[in-house]
Amino acid sequence: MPDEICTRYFEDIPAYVLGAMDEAESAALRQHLSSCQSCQAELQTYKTLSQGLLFVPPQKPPASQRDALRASLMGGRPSGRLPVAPSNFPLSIPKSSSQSRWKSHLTWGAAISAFITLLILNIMTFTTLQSIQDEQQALRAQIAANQTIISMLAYPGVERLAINSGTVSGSLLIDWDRSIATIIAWNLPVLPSDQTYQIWLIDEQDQRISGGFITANGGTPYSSAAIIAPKELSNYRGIGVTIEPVGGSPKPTGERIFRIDF
Amino acid sequence: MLNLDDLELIQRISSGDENAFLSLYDRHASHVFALALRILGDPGAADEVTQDTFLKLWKRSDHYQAALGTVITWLLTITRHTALDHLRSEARRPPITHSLEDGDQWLDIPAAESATEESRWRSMYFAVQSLPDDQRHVIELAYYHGLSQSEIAEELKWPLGTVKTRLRAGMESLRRVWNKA
Repeated sequence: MPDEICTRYFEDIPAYVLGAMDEAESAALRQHLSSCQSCQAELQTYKTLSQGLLFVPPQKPPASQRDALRASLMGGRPSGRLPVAPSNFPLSIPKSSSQSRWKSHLTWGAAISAFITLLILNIMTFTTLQSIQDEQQALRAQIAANQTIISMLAYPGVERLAINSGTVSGSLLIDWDRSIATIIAWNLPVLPSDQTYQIWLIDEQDQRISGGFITANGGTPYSSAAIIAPKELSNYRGIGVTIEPVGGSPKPTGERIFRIDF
Repeated sequence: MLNLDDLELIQRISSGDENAFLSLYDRHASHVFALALRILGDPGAADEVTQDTFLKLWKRSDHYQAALGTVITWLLTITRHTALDHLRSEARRPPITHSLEDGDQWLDIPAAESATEESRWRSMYFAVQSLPDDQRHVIELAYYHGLSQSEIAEELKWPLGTVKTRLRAGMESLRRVWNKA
């Protein structure tokens, strides 16, 4: 039992362990406790008692809490073991709840930002790849046309027709025996990306049938293309080239660049 | 991880073991959330405080001292501090009513005679609920709402001496129950 000196402090201990004393009273009690073993024993008993008040009937937390907590901890790290925090982390943080919310929001924000960035990069990569593939296809067509031109120039029966239309000049090479033809056009202006030069075969009824495309690129002063004819070239009386939307048109709709009659 | 006790889990958490952390969360989240909800009276705020508590556990696991109490007691102490900080930061008071029906979820827990820690705490909980309203009220305002005796006197319009007397009487009653449990 406490002596008379301790009585006053003894009575304060229950309030002390509940954290219900004003600071000045608490300071006085702490000072007494530092030198009074009986009061320390009493304090220990009530401390244990107050810990019992921490236990209330368990309640299941929201199902999303575990994932949110894990996401907060991971902070975008790939997986595995987490870094150990500094050991001087304060026990009492006044605005801790909002910290958690912001941590969670920041983590989600970072994840969404990363996802959007990856998406944009993928789209850019795909667009670039598509562009490269288009260029490769055009180059292959150009090489094929050039090879055809070379072989045609070496063949004695090839007919050459001149192209003269404003700034555009060049040749139309026709091999009547093999029914193949190629265009070599100089100074063909480079078109906007949404337009193309389309070749037309003109038949006896003055109908136009698509004979392929010719692409002007800034890399060489000339452009060349092989003409694709569904029938023998003798069925046609000439060719023409117009500017059409990319992908071509079923019939000529745009400006005519030149026309050559056979 | 399921066969490890809390102390072993804490040791693993200290070395950065995420799985140990999640195991400890699975084991004690319902107690932490319940205490946070008891103090805050708001499920959303209790959710935040529960997360904060476990984040603190993660960052301070190397501060745990087994000689000072069990892991769950340490964890709930952090929960109480965090929840009271939350209350103070928002300068609000939750509803102070609390019914005995909330204890239904403990009815399947072994009785006090089994001497398990949780059964003793359950006895304590029901002992608190069995206190006269004026004594229980003062203890709850102090412990779960973080009010000093002066603030309680002001809140309840009671003389300060009355508050002190009722608080002391209530705690002495609990002590008697605790000693029997």
